[in-house]
Amino acid sequence: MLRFLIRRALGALVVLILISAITYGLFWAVPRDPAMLSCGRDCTASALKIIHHNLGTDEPIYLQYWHYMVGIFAGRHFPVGNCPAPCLGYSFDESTPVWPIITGRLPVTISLAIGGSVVFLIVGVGLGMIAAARRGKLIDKVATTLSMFMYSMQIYFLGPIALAILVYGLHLFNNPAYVPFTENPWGWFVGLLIPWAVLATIFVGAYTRMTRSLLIEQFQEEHVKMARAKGMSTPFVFFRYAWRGALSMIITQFGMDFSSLLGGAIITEYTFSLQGLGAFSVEATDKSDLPSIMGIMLFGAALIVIFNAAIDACYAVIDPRVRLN
Amino acid sequence: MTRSLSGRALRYSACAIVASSALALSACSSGGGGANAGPKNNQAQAQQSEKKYSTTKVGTAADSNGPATPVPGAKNGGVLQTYEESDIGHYDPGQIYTANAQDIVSLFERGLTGYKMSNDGTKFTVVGDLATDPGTASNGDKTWTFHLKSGLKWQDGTPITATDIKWSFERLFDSGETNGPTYMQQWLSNTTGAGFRKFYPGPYKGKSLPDSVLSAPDNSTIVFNFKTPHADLPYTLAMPGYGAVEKAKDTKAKYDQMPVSDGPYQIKSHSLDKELVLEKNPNWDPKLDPIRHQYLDGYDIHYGHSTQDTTQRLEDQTGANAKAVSLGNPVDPNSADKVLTTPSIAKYTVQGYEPFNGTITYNMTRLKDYQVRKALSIAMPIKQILTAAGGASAGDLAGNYFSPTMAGWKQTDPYGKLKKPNGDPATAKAMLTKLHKTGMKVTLAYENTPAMQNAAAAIQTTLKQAGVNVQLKDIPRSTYFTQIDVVPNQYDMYMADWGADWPNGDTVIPPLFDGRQIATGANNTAHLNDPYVNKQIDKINAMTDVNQSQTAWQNLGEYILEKDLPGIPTYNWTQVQLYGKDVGGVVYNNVLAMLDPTRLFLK
Amino acid sequence: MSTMTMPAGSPAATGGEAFLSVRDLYVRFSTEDGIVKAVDGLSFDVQRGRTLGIVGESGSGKSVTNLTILGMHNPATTTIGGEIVLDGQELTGASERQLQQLRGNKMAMIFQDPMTSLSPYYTVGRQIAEPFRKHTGATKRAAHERAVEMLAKVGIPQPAQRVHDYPHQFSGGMRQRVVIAMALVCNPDLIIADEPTTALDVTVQAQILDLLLEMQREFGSAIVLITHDLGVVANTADDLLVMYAGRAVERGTVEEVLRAPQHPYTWGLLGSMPSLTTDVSLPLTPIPGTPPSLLDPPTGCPFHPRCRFTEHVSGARCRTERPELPDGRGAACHLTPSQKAELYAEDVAPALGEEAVEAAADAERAADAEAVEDQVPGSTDSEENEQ
Repeated sequence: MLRFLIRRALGALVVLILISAITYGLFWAVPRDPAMLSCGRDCTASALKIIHHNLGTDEPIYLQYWHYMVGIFAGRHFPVGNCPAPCLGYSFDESTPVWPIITGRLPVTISLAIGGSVVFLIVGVGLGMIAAARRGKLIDKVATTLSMFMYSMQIYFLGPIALAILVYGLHLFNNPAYVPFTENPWGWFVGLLIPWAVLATIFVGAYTRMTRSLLIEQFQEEHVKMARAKGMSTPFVFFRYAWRGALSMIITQFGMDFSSLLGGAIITEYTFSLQGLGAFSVEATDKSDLPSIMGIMLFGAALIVIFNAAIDACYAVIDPRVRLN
Repeated sequence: MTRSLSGRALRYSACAIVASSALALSACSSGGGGANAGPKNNQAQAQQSEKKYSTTKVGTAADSNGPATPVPGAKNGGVLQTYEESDIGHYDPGQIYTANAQDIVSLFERGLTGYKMSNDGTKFTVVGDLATDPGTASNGDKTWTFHLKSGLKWQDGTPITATDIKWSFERLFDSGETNGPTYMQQWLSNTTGAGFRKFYPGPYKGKSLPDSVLSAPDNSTIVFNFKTPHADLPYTLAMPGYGAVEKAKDTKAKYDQMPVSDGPYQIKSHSLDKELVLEKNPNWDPKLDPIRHQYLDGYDIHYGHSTQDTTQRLEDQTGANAKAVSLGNPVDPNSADKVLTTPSIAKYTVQGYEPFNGTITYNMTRLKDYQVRKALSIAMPIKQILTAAGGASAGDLAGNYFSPTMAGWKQTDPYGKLKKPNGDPATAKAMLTKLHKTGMKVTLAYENTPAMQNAAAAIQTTLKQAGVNVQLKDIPRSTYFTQIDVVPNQYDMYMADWGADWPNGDTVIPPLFDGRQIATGANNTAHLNDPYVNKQIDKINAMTDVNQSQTAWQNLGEYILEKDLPGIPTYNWTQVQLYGKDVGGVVYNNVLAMLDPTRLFLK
Repeated sequence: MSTMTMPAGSPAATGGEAFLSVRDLYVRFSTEDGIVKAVDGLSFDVQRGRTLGIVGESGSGKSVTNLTILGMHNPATTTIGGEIVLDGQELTGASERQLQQLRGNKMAMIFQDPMTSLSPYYTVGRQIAEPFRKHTGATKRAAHERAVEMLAKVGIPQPAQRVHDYPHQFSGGMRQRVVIAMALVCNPDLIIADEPTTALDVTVQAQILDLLLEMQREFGSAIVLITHDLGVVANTADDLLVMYAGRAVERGTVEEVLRAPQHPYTWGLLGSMPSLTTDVSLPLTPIPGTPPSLLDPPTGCPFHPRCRFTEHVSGARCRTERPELPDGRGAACHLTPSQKAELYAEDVAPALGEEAVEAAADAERAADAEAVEDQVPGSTDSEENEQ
């Protein structure tokens, strides 16, 4: 078990290094000179040179990459400012290192991801379980139709509608806004309620469908039939056998969805003017703030890799075949 | 104003992102049905705000005395909530260039000169801000002397001195200052481009600019010495990018996030990309400020709000939304028509010009024949181009290269475009037939935004009726300018726009039409090289009377349009903004191209 | 009357004593394409201590029958007719709760694939102990001890340690032993084994079958053994039911059916099965055609499209008239007994080897004798039993 986890962690590290190298390569391989962007109207060769020096892009690319990687652990000094470890680059557009920007926005994104996940897991998986248990019945048909409907929804459509009705029409809520949980838990909850609900909606559809079909697949499994043939009660068979089999797939999917949500729910954040990582990536892209884009991409990739490793660890807990082989 | 740094580009940024993400929102393509219903068809027109032409002149010492003319009905107190597209990022005056940044920092940063706006927003006067007057020129406009008003203090209570002012200009030479305007650095060092950085590395290593260039002979006097005349220095110095910095508190890069205020407000807290909270600066003296007021207790500026978001909030006009504004966000193009035709909402709009003028620019290296350019210009459907951009809420049809925000602007229309805004392909065809050019192929380059694509399609259709075969070259937004800036390039026409840095022709004519500045990366994308124009540029630049030079630039612009025709003007950019009904003193500032922030109050 | 046609202990002979009695069972599924007649009028009995083999191609309704006995069909899409009586208790109308009390307790099922019939998530001990605790109310500890005991019984070495292992830690044969242990943990009176050896290596197959029989001797259970392999039945079962297209087509003791098969389909099954005792040079003769669609079964005798002998029946009876399966020994076929014997002896047996030829000759003689007897007046008392 421990060996498995160590092996998995080492694998994740290798993947991270590869991703960082590829990301770095891609960024400086684009035909657009990042220095040109901050050079302005009267750009000349000498001005470019200065900016290149500021950006640290006057070195060969392998050295740049090396300094970037070292900077993550040891910090860096740029001519325009200090970038303490972990240094994911220095945003010339914001005149600050990228890392504090990311950590400053992370609470918004984490709040959105956790709250949204709780909603779509409870509603989506719950609805899927009910539909599977009562398949063919009216409630199954209602749940399936509803999930199709929600699955085909888009946040940029649903979000403004929710705002128009709940905020501007009925005045039931104030405009969604992020309030730190530590400052005001109730404000945090109320402020994010609409974004959670809207974000969860599209996932609810997907999770209902997935849970339902996974469970129905499980019902056809011989070991689930065997459990019935042993005379075990219907709830027992449902939860101990069928659900257990469906669980690992649901966890896999959830791990992927959650890690990508942590990378920033771009459209949701944009729709509700929440300043999380997704909104940051949009702004950085728009302003061609390459160090920030690079930083956020690496951060997102790291999250996905780490979460995948965590999912594998989860497998080891729930699946003895993984644990004991 | 550099195109990629333009306030407009920044404000519309979210739009482009939405479009490029291939989401099915038509937020950016405000063309189509809605935009066709121009204000002239609207019954509500009488009730809504109007775009006002404004005049600009350089004022006197008397104009430069505080306090600012009171705003009728103004009340004291309250904190105003404002919602803006994105954090302006930079707060160091030396890094300020975008419209949004210029607008917001004007609450807490001041320079030697500034624009004093009349209460109706129609008259702008360049006055001394920290200085007692807009400057005294001597030595044929090569030497400029300013005196600081007495009693000026930083927010920490220390007096503002000429040493601080000198320092403020010296630090602009530092390699970390890359985002602001570079006029002063170039003029002081008598260099072009970034040559000023070789001239002087900035003050942080202990060296200061020689007194022969910039001197502070006493605590309140500052003297600029240029090698060439700069009659419009009062305008240049009014750019917030030339605001003052307290020498003793200059923390280099950190200063960018926490500048020391000399205006009516100071930064209470700043959470990057989220919120900027301003409170009253107790050491600001209204008697020494001819421009700003201090009616509000403070500002709570929220960042990260799209135009859709702010439009929805301000259309709502209930509760907290009635007490809010967006200083910079225009009305969402999709909602503009609804906003302008709903009398209850249209009441709370202001409109005005932005210093941008759009053209279809001809690549004169390829389209050498004036008669061909003239025929193309006559056929050009400028109204449809405006419609594609959003119609009446996006702009007014243009007859010449100058925006109405320019000093000395007058309406001219040498090619009759305002009379036949849909183009006159029949006449153009007749001209081209005479030239044996019917069936000619021209390529048109444009950014691949929905608005530009719609405009390009309209051009293609109309020019086809004139016997011109237009090939469309759709270029990604991110590389558009770097592609059309290449000399030579393979495009015959490009859609372009240009915004002036200050309302004088020298920020329009020389960068766009000086034949000695044709180079890759430069802005003379028409490749116009007319010896007469070049000579006139030098002549007007040498003029010492600003008001005289304004007329001269206007006349030169007319000459270029009539004789050279390097491009046909399309429309002047305008903006419509909404505000909460409980906010008073709302005036659109044509120079800042945003709401004037310094006169707002809560009813 | 021959002793061979009516042996003691023939399936239908002692209906009153049968532990499991299935009478006129119909199972229909409604699907999008129509109604599938999966089981169509099936009757059989099984007694304690005896093994009934059910043989047929896939899709002949064998497995459906057994899921139906356990009540594990989907009630929403399945229609059931006829009756199933287990030890005097009617099952067709029983509630799910009642069925749960019986499953794993009075009747147990062994599935085909031991690789998939154990949950990978729980130890084998837990999976064996679960039904024991449920049905006997035993403590956790007692159930655990019972699991160890069962593992020992089915021949798992070191059962006290292996009871904590997970299924993936066992080989295929060992896993099937675990499944048997799980099925037998409550001493069920009826064991339904659905192809219990199909997924296993040939060498392991015999061990598992031996184990089943051994368990049967110990517990005295009745076994229903479903298989498509006549070889498996020959060594294991007492009685045999041949199924085709959801119907029983031949019935008898194993010996009867294998020595003197009466239905052309059974002949086909025998012909397509290799035997160690036959000459290797004899070619296998597969049954031509494919099993019929149960959505739209053929009229008359469902086997007629694949049957080589329809011309021996007068008229078009094979196509129009459904042949009935007599109670006791017999086959659902329109051929007369003597035709059956003759055709088998002359047409089929030679391809099956010498043993079959001899057995067929005996059967033919017996059939002829019977035919002669039939013409003698006063001997009608035997007819009831025969037809």
